[in-house]
Amino acid sequence: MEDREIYAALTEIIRDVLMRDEIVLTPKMSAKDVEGWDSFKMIEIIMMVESQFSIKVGSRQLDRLETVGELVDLIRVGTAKHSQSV
Amino acid sequence: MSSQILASRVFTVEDQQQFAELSGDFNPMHLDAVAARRTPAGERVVHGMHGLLWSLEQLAHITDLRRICAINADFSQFIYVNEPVTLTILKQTDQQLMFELRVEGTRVAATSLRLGARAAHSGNLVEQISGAALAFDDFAIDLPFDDLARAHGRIEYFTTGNRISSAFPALDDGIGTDRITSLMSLTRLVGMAVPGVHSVFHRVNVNFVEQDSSPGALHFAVSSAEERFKILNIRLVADGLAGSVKASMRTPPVTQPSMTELKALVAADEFQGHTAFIVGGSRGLGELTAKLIASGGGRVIISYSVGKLDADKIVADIKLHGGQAETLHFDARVSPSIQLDQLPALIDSVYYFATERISSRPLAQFSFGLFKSFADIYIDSFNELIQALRRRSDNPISAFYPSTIAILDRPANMTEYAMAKAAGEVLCADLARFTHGLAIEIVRLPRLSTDQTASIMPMETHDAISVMLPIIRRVHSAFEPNQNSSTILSNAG
Repeated sequence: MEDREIYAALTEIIRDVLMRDEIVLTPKMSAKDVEGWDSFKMIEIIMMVESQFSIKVGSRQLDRLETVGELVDLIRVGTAKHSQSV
Repeated sequence: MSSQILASRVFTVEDQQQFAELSGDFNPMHLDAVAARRTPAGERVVHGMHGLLWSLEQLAHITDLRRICAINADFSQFIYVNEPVTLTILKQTDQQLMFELRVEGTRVAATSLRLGARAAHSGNLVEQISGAALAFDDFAIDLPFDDLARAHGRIEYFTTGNRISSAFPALDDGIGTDRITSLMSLTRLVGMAVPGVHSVFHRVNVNFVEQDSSPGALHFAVSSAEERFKILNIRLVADGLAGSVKASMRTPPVTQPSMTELKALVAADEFQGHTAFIVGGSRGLGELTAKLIASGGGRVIISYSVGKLDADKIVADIKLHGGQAETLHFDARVSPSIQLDQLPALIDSVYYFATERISSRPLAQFSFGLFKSFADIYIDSFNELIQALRRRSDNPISAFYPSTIAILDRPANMTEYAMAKAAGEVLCADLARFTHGLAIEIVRLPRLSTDQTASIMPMETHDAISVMLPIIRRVHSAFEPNQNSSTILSNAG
C-alpha cells in the first residue's frame, strides 16, 4: 500500500476520532501536537486502524509509538505482511 | 467563522439528581460522592448526555433544531459537578454545525450535527436487534466483560411526556419528545446496564429517522467488544433514531487484601505498643497501612473525610481479627487542632495519605489554582498537622510522607501535582531537621494499584504490600537506638 493512501485513510480516522476537521497529518506530528489526543484517543485510533487495515498492533508497539510517521510505517509493514499471507 | 461562546453554566448536585430522575441513569459516579471517589474520575461527574442535551437546547438561539438529522457526539473528558462549562460554536454551515464544551480552556466534549432531510425509516433494525427487556431497578448492573460482549435486549423508557418536554422546551419543539426520550435512554443503557456500574460513556452516533414504526423502547445489541481495552460498540434503535454508542468498562474499585491475608505476612507482635494515626485510612494505601500495622499488634486510628462507611468496615475487619482500631473524622482542609482533640490516644506515628483528586485532564496551561489546591493538602495541612501533634505531646513522633516518582518521571498533565509534592519533600526535610523528636520518612512511591491510579490503558503497577511493609517497619523503628537519621528520602519499587 502506498504511503499516500495510508495518509489519506489515517487522516479520515484521526479527524473522526478527535473530531477535528482541520487536522493535516505530517510524519513528525505526535499526540502532544494536537489538543485532546490522549491515551484513550490513541486506543480508539489504533482500533480503527486495526479494523480498516486488517492488521494487529501489539501493546509493545503501541507503547513505543511516538509519531504519525511511525504509525504509517507500522501500517505499511502490517498490510504488506497481510497481503503476503492472503 | 471563528469560535463563538454561546452559553455557559455549572451543573450542580441538584441538576445531577434531576437529570438522573428524568433519564433513569442513577450510576453512582454521577450521584454518590463516596462511591465516585473510588472511580477513575475521583469525584461526581456530569452525565455526558446531560451536557449534550443542554447544548442542543442552547442551539435553538442560532439554528433551526428541526433540521437536525444526525448527531455525532464525543464525551472526551469528565465534567465535574460545580465547575464552569462553556459552550462554543466551532463551525456553522447549511449542512453542519459543530460545537464543543470546554472547562478551563480544555475541550471536554465535542459534537457534530448534520442538518438537512432525515432518513425515511430505520429499516428492519428493530427486528434485527430486538431482544428481551432487561430487568433492573435503580441499581446499575455489574456483569463480567464476556457477558457484556454478548449483551442485547430492550430497555424501557424511564420517563416520557411532559416532564421531558418541560426540561428541554426548545429541543422538544425542534426534535420532538420521543427523540429526547430516546437520547436519554442511551445514558440509562450505558450507565445502568451495558457496561453498567463500571461504565464510561464515550460516544454517541445516531441518525434521526422519520417514525414509520414505533420501537416503543430502546433496542440494542453489542456489535463489537475489544477485550484488551474493555471497549464496547453497541448498535441501537429507538423512537425516532438509530445508530450506535461507544462505552468502556472502567476498572472496578481496588480491593485491598483482607486481614486474614495480611496476618500471614507480619509477625503478630511486630508493631505491638505502637499507636499510629492513619490520615486517609479509609481506602487505598491508607487502608492497607492500617491493616498491616494492626496485623502486627499495633493500634490504629483511621481518619476519614467522607468515607465513614468504608472506614467502619476496615475497623470491623481489624477487630474481628483481634486487632485494635478506631475511626476519627478528620478533614485535612480544616485546622487540625480542634479535630485532634478527638484523638483517642497519644500517637507515636502518623501516616499522611490525605490527597486531592489527581486528575489527568490536560490543562491549556499551568494552573496556579490547581497547584495551590495540592499545596494546601500536601504542604500546609501536613505542616499544621505535625505542629498540632507536637503541641499535644513531647513524645517522639515518626511520620510517613508519601511523595511521588512523578517528581522524576514527570508524566503529562501532572506538573502541579509533582511541584506540590516536591515542595512537600523540602518541608518534611526541614521540619525533621529543626524539630526535636520528629522523624519523617519520605518515599517517592511508584505507581501502585489504587483507585487513584486506575486507568483504561493497561499500566504496570507495583505491588503495594511489598512497597508499604518496609516503609512501615522503618517508620516504627525510627527512634530505635541504631537509627541516626531524622529524615530519609528514598524511591520505592
